Amino acid sequence: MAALGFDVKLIIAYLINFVILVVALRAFAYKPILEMLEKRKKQIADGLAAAEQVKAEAEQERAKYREELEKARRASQEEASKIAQVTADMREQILAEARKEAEELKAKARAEIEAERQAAQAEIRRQMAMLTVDLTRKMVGETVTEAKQHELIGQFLAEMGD
Amino acid sequence: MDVEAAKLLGAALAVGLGAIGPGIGIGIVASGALQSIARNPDVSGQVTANMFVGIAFSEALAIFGLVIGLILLFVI
Amino acid sequence: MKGKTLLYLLGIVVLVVLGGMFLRFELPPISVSAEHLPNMYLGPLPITNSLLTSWVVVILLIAMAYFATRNMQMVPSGLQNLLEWIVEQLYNITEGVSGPKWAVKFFIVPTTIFFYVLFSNWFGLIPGLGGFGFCEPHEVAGQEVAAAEGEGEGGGSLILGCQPGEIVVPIFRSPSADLNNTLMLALFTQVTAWVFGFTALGFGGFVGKFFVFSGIAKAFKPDEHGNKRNFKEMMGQVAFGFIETAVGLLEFLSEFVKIIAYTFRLFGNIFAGEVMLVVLTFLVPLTLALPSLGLEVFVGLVQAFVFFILSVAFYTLAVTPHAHEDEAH
Repeated sequence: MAALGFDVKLIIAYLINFVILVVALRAFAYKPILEMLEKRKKQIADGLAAAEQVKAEAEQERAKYREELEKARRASQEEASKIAQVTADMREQILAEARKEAEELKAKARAEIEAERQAAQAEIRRQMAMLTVDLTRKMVGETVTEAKQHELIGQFLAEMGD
Repeated sequence: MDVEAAKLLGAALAVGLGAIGPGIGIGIVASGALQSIARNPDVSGQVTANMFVGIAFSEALAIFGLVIGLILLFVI
Repeated sequence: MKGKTLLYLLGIVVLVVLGGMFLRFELPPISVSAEHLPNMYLGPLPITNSLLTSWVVVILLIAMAYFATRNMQMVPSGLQNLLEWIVEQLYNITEGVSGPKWAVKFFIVPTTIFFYVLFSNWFGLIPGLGGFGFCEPHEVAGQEVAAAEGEGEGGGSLILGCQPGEIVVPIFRSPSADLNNTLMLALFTQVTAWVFGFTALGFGGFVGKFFVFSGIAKAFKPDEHGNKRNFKEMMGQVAFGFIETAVGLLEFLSEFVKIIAYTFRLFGNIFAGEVMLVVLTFLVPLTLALPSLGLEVFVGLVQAFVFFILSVAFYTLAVTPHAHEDEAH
């Protein structure tokens, strides 16, 4: 093997060389570079996340505005419907009042008529009773006493009342 | 034949003949790898890595020829 | 357009002819092992040119990493950007192969290997660097030269200044073209893979991946319905269990074959590339080696990446528990 130049001392020398190189490159190159790559990746991810957040916020804002708009529209609609309700109520009330008044007037008129009718009836009855007494007296003659007369009128009136 | 001449011939034959098979093999490996990359360029990284492993296994045979040649020339 | 092309061709021809006339040099002897620099020792350790280059590479890499990450910016630029890009890509590949849970642990050693091997490979390719070196008496040509001249202690340290009997020992040689270095990387990778395997699966789980006897043992137990097996079934199960055992043993063997494969893959590719460049330069100076240099730059990158991806893949295999469907992975 010596003819091919193999020499354990040289192999060890190369090994020391290489180990030094591994350690040095790990310290000087790989570690900082991988850290830097990681950092850069993180920064990009952060940037993306921030953009995403801004987008989400904008979306939220928009949703809020839309909601507010909707609310306002709903409120105005409500207002309008309330006004319509109020006018309808008012109309109803006025109508009801008018109707009630008319009803009252009608009832009063009817009551008056009734009262007059009653009065007329009473008048008729009274006159009828007088007539009856007169007739009876004429027929029976002056024999009926005052008390009897009254009793008869009462009896008659009671019969008539039915 | 002189022993020295036989050594030289042997070394040349070992390397020369030993390189034929691996040469064909590496050609097949590379051709397959290139075809698969052409069909699906997305996997080129994976294919390249595996191609080199395949080439290494094939090439190892040629390296044995080289080792035999070197041993014939310099050691024996 | 046509005239320009003609001019280029003419220029190349002139370069070839001039190079052939004036830049002839002897083909330097090709050495498989890294050359020992004359009279250089560190204690008992003989310093080879590859080891020296390896030190330079390590210092360069540490300095680069230090200056790149000295003050980290949120928005990277320049060196920091480049280093971050490479590390991030490698990390993503690791994550894709082994999943996010293991990636943080796995990725350190393979990524270091990637940088180390890449710089080693490319360092050996810098044109002209192979020419600088010490003059050494040629060992094979004649012992009497060595005896007469003594140790040329960097007397004429340039290629042009060497005596006819001497050759250049270059100061720099790619560490990847030294078997000691590649063997070290292979051992380091495999040992760390075993450590990961042990910690992830426990001793029994990790060793149980390679020594599988449950298949054979199953043959002598009643089957899943509680019936006693007849002889034929039992033999079939034994054969099946035996195959499982053999596959496990093969995997155990392949754990060590991987070391050899790692070692000689990197060494073979880089060493062969450098030899090719030297030979091409020797054949036709200046021009012929240039396209190959471009190719070697690419090969250096690919080999670094292959070492990286293989170690990640084998780490992942090491922590994967033994199961049949994992074979296909």
